[in-house]
Amino acid sequence: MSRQVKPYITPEEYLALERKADYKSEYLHGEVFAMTGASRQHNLIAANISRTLGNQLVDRPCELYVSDMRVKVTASGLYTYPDLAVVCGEPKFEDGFIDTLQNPTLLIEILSKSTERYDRIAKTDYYRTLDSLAEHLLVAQEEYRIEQYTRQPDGSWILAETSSLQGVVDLGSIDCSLALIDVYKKVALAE
Amino acid sequence: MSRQAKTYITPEEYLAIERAAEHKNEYVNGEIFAMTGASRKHNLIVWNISGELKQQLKGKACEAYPSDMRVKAPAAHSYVYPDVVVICGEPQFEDGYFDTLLNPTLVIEVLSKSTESYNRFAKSAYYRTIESLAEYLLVAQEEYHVEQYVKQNDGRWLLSDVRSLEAVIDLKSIGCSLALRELYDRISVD
Repeated sequence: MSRQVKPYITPEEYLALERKADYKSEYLHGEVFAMTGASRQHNLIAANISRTLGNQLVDRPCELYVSDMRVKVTASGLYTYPDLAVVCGEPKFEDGFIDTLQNPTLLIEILSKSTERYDRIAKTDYYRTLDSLAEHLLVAQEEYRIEQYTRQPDGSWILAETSSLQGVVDLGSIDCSLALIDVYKKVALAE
Repeated sequence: MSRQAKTYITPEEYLAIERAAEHKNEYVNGEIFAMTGASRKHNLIVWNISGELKQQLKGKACEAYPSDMRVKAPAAHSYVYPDVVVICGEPQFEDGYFDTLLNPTLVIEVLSKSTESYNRFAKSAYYRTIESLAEYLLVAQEEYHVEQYVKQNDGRWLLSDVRSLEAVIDLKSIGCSLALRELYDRISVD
């Protein structure tokens, strides 16, 4: 992701631009950030999670969106495309375009490589302000490690890390589970 | 921070280079990353926190080091410089140079920009692998927002978002408290 535009852009202007753009951009506080492609590992992990969760959700009133669903995180602040978003129950959209989700239950981001230091918006603290969000995951791509943040009744979050390939992450919010062996299938880690 | 070297550097080589260097570098998995200077807000926040902790730690068996204490974390064989590090009890160092702390109790990072992910994700993950670490804070400088992570008995971390200037953060691990009003003294956000 790189910085593109300097003058202040309103959320309405961003949405209008975005809906006719040839590539995806995120929006944060009046600025638009073009999104770049992702690594092989990133794509493999996204596909693996998508397959695993998709199978578990196939007959349930939950929808899974991969890469291309825009999420409105805060009214004036942030529109972004999470790597994966799950909504259980009735999805709510910003308007009649049905392309901007407002109530994700679970969001999953695949972390950038540690060498890509300034490449993306650190969005997770904004995610936590979404009332609908019950859980979010950060998935490392250079090591076998998943960070799971689960909302508590008092508004705080519990962070649990799983860093064993034998580990399984229980996703209470959508009643699914993710085995790391499935998440990292075909993903070879550099030594 | 920018990427500098591509060849694998051993921790011993890094430490030797670092001790002779004129500027600070961090070390992760065989690579060295130069550290850059920081903004006015960043410096003020570190100074505000240091002042508060200096007062409250007076007479206690704790030491606080702003900006220049190297910390070793097991993950990724990393050596990093937190913005503020506090050790309660006897500090343990890597060797006789007494410049590489092994057992921090509390670490505080001031985040540079909302677009920055290194401190938030990578560095935090390194910190969490330090056995002695009981608590860490991530402090935003573009808004009034502190994330407090407190280690639980089962190894998980309790994360609280503090976003009110009236709030006071209870730092149980070092027996101190931090009022956001003090932490953000002289800092205005849009």
